[in-house]
Amino acid sequence: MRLRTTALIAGLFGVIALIVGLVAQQQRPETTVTVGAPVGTAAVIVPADMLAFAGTDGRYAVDGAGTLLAFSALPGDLEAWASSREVTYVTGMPTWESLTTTVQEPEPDPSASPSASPEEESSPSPSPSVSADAGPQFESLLAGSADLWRQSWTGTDRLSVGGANVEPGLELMLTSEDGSPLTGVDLTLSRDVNDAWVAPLIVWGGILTAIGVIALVLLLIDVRPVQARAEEWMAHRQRIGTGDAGPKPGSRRARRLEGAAVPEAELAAEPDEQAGALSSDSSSASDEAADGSRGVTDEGGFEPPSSTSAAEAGPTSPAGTPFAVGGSAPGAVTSAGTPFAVGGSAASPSDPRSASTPSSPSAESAPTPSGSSPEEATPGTPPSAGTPSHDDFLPPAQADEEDDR
Amino acid sequence: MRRALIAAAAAAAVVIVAGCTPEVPAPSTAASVEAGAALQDAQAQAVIEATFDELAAADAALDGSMLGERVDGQVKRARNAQYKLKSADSSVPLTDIPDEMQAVYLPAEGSWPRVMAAVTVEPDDDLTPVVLVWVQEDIEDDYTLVGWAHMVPGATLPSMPGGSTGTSTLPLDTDTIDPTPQASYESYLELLRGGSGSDLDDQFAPDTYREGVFAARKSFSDSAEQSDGKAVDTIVPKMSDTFAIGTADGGALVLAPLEVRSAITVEDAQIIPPESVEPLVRGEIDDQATYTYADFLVLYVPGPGADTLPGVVAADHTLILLSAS
Repeated sequence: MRLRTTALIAGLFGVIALIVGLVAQQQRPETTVTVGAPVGTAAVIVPADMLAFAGTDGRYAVDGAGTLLAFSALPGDLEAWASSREVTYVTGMPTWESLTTTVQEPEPDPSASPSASPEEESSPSPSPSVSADAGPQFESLLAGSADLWRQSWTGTDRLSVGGANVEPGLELMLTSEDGSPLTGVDLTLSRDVNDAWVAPLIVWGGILTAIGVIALVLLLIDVRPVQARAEEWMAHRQRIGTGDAGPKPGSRRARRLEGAAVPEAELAAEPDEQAGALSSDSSSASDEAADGSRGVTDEGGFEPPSSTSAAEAGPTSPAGTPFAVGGSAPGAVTSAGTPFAVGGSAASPSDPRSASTPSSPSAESAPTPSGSSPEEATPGTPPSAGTPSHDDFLPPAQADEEDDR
Repeated sequence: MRRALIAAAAAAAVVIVAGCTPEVPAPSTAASVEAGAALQDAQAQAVIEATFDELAAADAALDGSMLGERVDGQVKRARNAQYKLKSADSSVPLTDIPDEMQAVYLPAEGSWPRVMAAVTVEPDDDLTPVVLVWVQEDIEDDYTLVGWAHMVPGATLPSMPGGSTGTSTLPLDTDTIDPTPQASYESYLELLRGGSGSDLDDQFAPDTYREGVFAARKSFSDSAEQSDGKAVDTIVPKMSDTFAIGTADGGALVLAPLEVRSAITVEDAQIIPPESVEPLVRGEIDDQATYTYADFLVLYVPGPGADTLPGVVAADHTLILLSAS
């Protein structure tokens, strides 16, 4: 529950991060920006400081009609050259959206009339009074000497020159070949936008959102059965991983896991009451007596079989005695038919592991390791006759250790 | 709730993104120009090529009117005279001016006029290298070849500033050099006028130019005296076309076009010009004739502390006109 709640909260944060990331991805500023300004003159001059401002990857460009030319020159030379021409100077870039320019009018000719007013100066744009037949007439600004130009570039309709291509300290002049006005100047710059966080934000937002969606789905579906099987499988795999492949078939652990009942130990009754107790408590003995296979009667006495052969009666002594006579050893039965005495801690005859069989050790009750049937038992070698069984019940932990061995 | 969440996230994104936009770079100051000379090698080479293209075209046509864009001044006047002579006699050679330079002295940035000088390799006529001088009067004007002068045998051009700064044009009366370039040049002109016996003769290093002028003057004088005439040399400097450029040692080279007029007058005799100069004769010469020479001098004025004398390192003396008066 706590994990699911955490996942849901993470999903919420993921959705927020994803939205922020996607909006930022859509709205983030361009790494390359082009800033322009309109131009109405036939020449644009980019001073050396503005060329340095453009850096190594900035580019200045002008738009116009026809062949466009660009030259670099010494600042002093270009200033002298421009003094008699109307040119546009690029003066700065205060924001990422604007490029500032200024127009320099030609210096008045000393021979010209001093009464000439600025209003009378012709507009740089073509006069609307020009007839439609005759196109606008322009005068090239390149009529003078070309000795001052150091480098030159040529383009058509648009000419772009990298700031780094101009020797530091020089200025750049861009103009139209025929003297027609240029339409615009722009500066293209690269900038370092701090947007490296956008992509990781989108990725992590997506991951957290997916986690949240999964948690939301699991909230609606009961997966506890699957979880239980998974945990069981995990435990199983863990045991295999530690070298425990499970109980061996037939081992006590296997039998215990199969659900074998653990017998309750019973104290043996007093000798006088043993027969009765045995006859009344031991169902197996009564059963065996009923089918005549054992020499035990309901009255607790022993009655030798009359018509049953020795082979049918079970293992017998070499002398034909069905049971070996041996003092008062537990389980020993006298040939005279006296009730047998049970020594030590008697166990229930039904317990094949702990009971000292009062009668002949049958195949079911004898602790014969080989588990041989009565017919296969060797006559005269009673299994652990007179010896209390040490095959006691072991606690599971100890049995496990034994099984492990 | 969901809309509010989306709106808040979008607003946060916009705010964050706005913070991601860097500041506009601050205005920067450009580095100074490493190659501060007004012309660099490539530009100078372009000027030289344009000059020799024009000169070669005029030489091929023997037409002086084809000069004027890149070739002007004393060069144009001298070349015009040579075209006349060669037109009359094709065996007359034109002054050989190699188009290969062994040194180019680039002009410095600054005010106009600007001067570029160059020294050619040795010409094929076994004469000494030629010093060429270009002048740009204004930013609108091309660099124009205005003078040439063969180097005086044994003379050495001083070291000149390199392309990083260029060779500055100095005012003729600059006080950084004592005596000033103008004073030294005027003293030399006085020496030319005074002749070998002038007191100024030992103030200048020997040169073959003035020796030649003095020798021609003596020849004219001797010839005139034989006819009870006289010979007079008139030295006419063109100060407006004279420039001084700085040398590396703080001195100056004075680049001076001048005109030398040698007038001869004889009594009871007639001056018969040599046939070789007949194309240069203007008018009908009788007992008076004036030989006009378009000369070009390169005078070295040492800088302060130098222990060498000023002297002419290159000069040419070219007859351009023989007139009746």
